[in-house]
Amino acid sequence: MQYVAMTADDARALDRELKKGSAELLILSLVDARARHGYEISKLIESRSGGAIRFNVASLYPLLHRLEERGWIQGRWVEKAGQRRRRFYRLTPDGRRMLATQRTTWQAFVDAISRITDPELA
Amino acid sequence: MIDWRHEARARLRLTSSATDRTRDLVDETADHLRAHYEALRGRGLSHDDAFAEVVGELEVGVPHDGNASPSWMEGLLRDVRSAIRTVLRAPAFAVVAVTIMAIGIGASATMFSAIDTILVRAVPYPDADRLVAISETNRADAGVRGVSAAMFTELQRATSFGAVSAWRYWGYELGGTPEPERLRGARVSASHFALLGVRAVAGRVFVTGDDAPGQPKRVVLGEALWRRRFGGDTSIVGRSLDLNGDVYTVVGIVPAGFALPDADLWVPLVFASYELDQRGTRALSVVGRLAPAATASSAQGELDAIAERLARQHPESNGGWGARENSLREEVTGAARTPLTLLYVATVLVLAAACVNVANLLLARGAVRRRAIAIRLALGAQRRRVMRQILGEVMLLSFAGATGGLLLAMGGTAYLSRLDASAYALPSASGVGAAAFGAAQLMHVDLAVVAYVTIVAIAVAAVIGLAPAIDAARLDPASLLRGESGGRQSRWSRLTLRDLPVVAQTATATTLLIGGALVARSFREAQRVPLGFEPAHVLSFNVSLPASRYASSGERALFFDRAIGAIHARPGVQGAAVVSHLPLAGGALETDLTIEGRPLARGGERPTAQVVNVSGGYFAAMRVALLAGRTFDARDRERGQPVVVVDSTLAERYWPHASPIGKRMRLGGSIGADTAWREIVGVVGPVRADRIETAARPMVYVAYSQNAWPSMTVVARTDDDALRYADVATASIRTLDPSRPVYNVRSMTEIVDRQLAPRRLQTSLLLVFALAAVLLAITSVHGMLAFAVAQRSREIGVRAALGATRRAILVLCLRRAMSRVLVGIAAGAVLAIATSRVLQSVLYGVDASDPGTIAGVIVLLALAALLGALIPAVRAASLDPMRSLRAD
Repeated sequence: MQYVAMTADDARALDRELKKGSAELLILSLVDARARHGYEISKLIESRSGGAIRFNVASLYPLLHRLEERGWIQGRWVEKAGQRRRRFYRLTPDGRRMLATQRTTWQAFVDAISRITDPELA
Repeated sequence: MIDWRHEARARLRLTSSATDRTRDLVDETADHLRAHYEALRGRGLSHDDAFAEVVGELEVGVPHDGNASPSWMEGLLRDVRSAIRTVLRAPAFAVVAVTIMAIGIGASATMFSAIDTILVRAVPYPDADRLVAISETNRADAGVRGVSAAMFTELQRATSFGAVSAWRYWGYELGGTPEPERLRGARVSASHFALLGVRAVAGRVFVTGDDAPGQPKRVVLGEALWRRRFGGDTSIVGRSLDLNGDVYTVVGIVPAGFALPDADLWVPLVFASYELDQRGTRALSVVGRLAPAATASSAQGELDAIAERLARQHPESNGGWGARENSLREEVTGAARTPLTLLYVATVLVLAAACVNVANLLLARGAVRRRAIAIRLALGAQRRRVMRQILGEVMLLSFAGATGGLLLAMGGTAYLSRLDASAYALPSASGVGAAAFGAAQLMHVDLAVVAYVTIVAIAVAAVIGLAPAIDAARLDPASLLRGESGGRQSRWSRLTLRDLPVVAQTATATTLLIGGALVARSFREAQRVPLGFEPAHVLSFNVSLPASRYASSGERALFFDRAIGAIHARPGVQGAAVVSHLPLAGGALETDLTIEGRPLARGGERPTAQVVNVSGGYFAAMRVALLAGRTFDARDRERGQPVVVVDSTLAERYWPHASPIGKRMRLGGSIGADTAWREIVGVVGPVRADRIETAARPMVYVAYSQNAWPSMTVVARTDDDALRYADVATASIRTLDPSRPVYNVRSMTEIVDRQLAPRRLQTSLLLVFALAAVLLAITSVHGMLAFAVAQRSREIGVRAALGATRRAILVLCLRRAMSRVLVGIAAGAVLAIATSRVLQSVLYGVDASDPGTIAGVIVLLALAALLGALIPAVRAASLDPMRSLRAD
C-alpha cells in the first residue's frame, strides 16, 4: 500500500517544527557573531525579519535554557556599571558545529522547495 | 514602581521558585519586560498601554516549572492522539495489519490455552510432582498393562509409597425411578481422594475403612451428576440410592472437573477373595504418592524387587512380568504433549510470519513518508520524538490486533472445549491417562491467556516497530532532501536485508506446509489401516442384566439369544450378535494362557492374549474373516465341550507350522474360576482391538453360550445408516424386559472416528496454520516485487527505452522474486528435515523426511509464489518508458 500524500498530522507537526527548528537556527546564528542577551536577541530577530518573525517572551527564555542544557550556548550573568544584571549567551564549540549542520540542512530544504516551486522546464 | 519579577512570576504561573533555573527565568523575563516597557514608554505610549502590551506577550494560564517542554504525560497523550490520527488516515492499511496480527495472535493464544489447560493444569493436585502412576509390564511384548489385585496389595506394603490407590471403571444403573439411567462409575480405594488432596464440596469423601469388606455400601457423587439429577440439593448427602439393585448411601459430592478417574460417581473398591487369586488379571489402574524420603529411582528399584519376588513365587502368573512407575503428569499428558507442542510451535511460526509481514508493510509505508520525516528532522524535530511516534502507531496497531486475537481465541477455545476428550490424544495403556482430557472441557480464555496476549502484543510491537523506528533514527535528512534515495539501490539480482521478510516467510510457509502434508498423509494412512472388521453400517449399544433377575448363566444367555433374534428379524438388519468388548472401544480384557503340550518358556513367561466373549453371529455381523475351521454355533452349549476361536496372530505365534484346530488351551483366572481345557474350533483374521495404529495382539474368543456375562454390547449390521435403526433395536430390548435401559448407543463408524480424532484435529489445525503462512508468504512476495518495481520504475524505463522487450522485463522481475522465494523454500525444507525426528513421533506410516512429500510441497509453493509475483511483474513489463523516465 502506497501512502503518497503528507498527512494532515504531518503538516501540523511540520508547522510546529518549522517554527521550532528555525528558532534554534536563528538564535545560534545571532550569538555566533558575539555574545548577546535575550532581549537583544528577540529585538534583532524582529528587526532583521522586518517584523515577520516575533518571539513570545514566554517561549524565548525556556528555549535559551534548553539550548544551554544541550551545550550549544553558554549563559553568563554580567553586571556592568550603571546597568542591571543581564545574562549574556555565546556559542560553544558544539553549538558552532550544530549551527553548521543546521545551516546545511536548511539550505538543502530551501533548495528542495525551490526545485518544486520553480517553473517546469520545457 | 512595577515589580517586574512579581509580574513575571505571576504571569508565568511558576509552580516552583526554589531552583536556580526558575530564579534565572524570572530574572531574565523580568529584565525583558522592563526593557520592553521602557522602550514602549520611550515611543510615547502611556503607562497603561505599555504595560498591557508587555504583559500580553506572556502566555497566560500555562503552568510552568521553568521548563517549557510538555510533561511526559502530555507528551504521551499527544503521541497517542497523533498515533490514532495517523492510523485512521490509512484505514485499509490498518485493517490489513490488524487482521494479520489478530490471526497470528489469536491462533497462538488458542494453542497456549490448550497447553495450559491440558498439559499444565491437567494434574491440579497438591504436590503433584510426588504423584506417580504404577503399572505392570510384560517383557515379551514390552507392553504396559494395569495392575492385578494381588500386586496392588503388595504395593500397599511398599515403603517407597506413602499411599497408593487403585480404581477400575464400573457401570451402574441408577434405579428407583421410571427411567433408570446408566451411569459411568468407578470403584476406588478409600484412600484415593485423600491421596490426591480432593475435598468434598458437600458431605465427605471416602476415609480409611470405607473399603473394608462388610462395610455398608457408600457412594460419592460427582458435582455434574448431583446438579443434573438431584438439583444441587445438599440434602442428598446421607440419603440412599438404588445402584444396580443395591442400596448405597451418598456420603459426599466432589467438585466438577475431577477426572481421575473420570466418572459420574465413585464407590469403594472392595476385593472379592477370588480376585486376589487372579494374579493374571491386570485390570486395575493405580496411582501412588512417593514417601517423603523416596525418589522415583528408589521407588522403581523397590518395584523391580517386588516383581522379581512375585515371579519366583508365582511363575505361572508373574513370570516375565515387571512393574514400573511413571510420573503422573507424564502418564496423563505424555500422549498429548508432542502433538500440542508441535501445534503451538506452528502457531508461533505463523505469528512470526505475520509480524514480518506487517513490519514489511510498515517499512514500505515508511519509505513513502521518509521525505516528510526528513523535512521534520531538518527543521529541528527530535529523532527521539519521531521514533516515539512511529512506535506509538505500531503499539496501537499491535494492541488492536491483540484485541482481535483475543476474540479469535475465545472462539477457538470454545470450539476446542466442545471436542470430545479423545480428540487430543488416546489414553495411555495403563488406563491412568484416560482420565485427563476431561479437563479439556474447562478450556476458556482466562487471566492467563489475557496476560499471554498482552505480553505477545508488546513483543510484536517491539519486533515490528523496531525496523521502521531504526530506519527513521538513521535517516540523513540532508542527503535525502538533496535527492538521494536514502539508500543505495543494489543490483536486481543481489539479495539484500530488505529481502529477508520474503525469505523468512517463505521458509516458514515451507516448513509448516511440509509438516501439514506429512501429518495429513499420516491421517490417510491411519484411515486405510485394515481393521480386520467392517465398521460401516454397524449399530452398537450396551445392555446390562442385574444379578437379582438374571442369576444364572442360562437366563442371561436366553435373554441375549432372544434379543439377537428379535433384532435380526427387523427389516434392514442383516445380522446381530453380542460381544463383551467392542474393538477400538477400549477396555479389552487380557489374560494368560496355558497351551496344552507346550512347556513354559525359559524364565516362566506365560503366553498372554486378549479375551473377548462373543455370540456365534458376531464374526458374520462384524465381517471378521473366517480363515479355518468354524465359528460358534448350536453345538456349543453351556454344558458342552468348552470351545474357543483364536485369531491368526495367536495361531501363527504358537502353531507356526501346524493348524491349531483341535488344539487345547486353558485361560487364566479372568473367566471366573474355570480351569477347563478349551478346544480351538476356528481361526479368524486379526482384529485391531486396542488402537488403529497398534498391530493386532493375540486374541481368543470364547462362546457367549458357554460364558454368559451380565453386561454385553449388542451389535447389528444394517442395510444403511446404522443409527437410523437405534430406536427399532432398543425397542426390541424393551419388549423383552421394559426395565432394561439401553446405553452407549453409537455406530461403529463413530467409534473408529474417535480413534482417528486426534489425527484429524492435528491435521486440520496444522493445515489451517500452513495455509495462513502460505497466504502471508504470497502477499509478501507480491508486496516485495511491487515495491521493488515502484522503486526502480526509472531503471525499468531506461531498460525499455534501450530496447529491452516486455518479455525480458517480465523475466527479470520474476527471476528477482523467485530467487528470493527459492532461497526461502530451501531454508524451510532444510529446517523441516532437521526437525524431522521430532515430527516423526506424531507420524504414522510415513517418513518425516519423505522426499515425495517435500518435493510436492516445494513445487506447490513455488507455483503459488510465482502467481503472487505475476501481477507486479506484468505491471512492470507494461510500464510506459517515457512516463517512467519523466516521473520523479
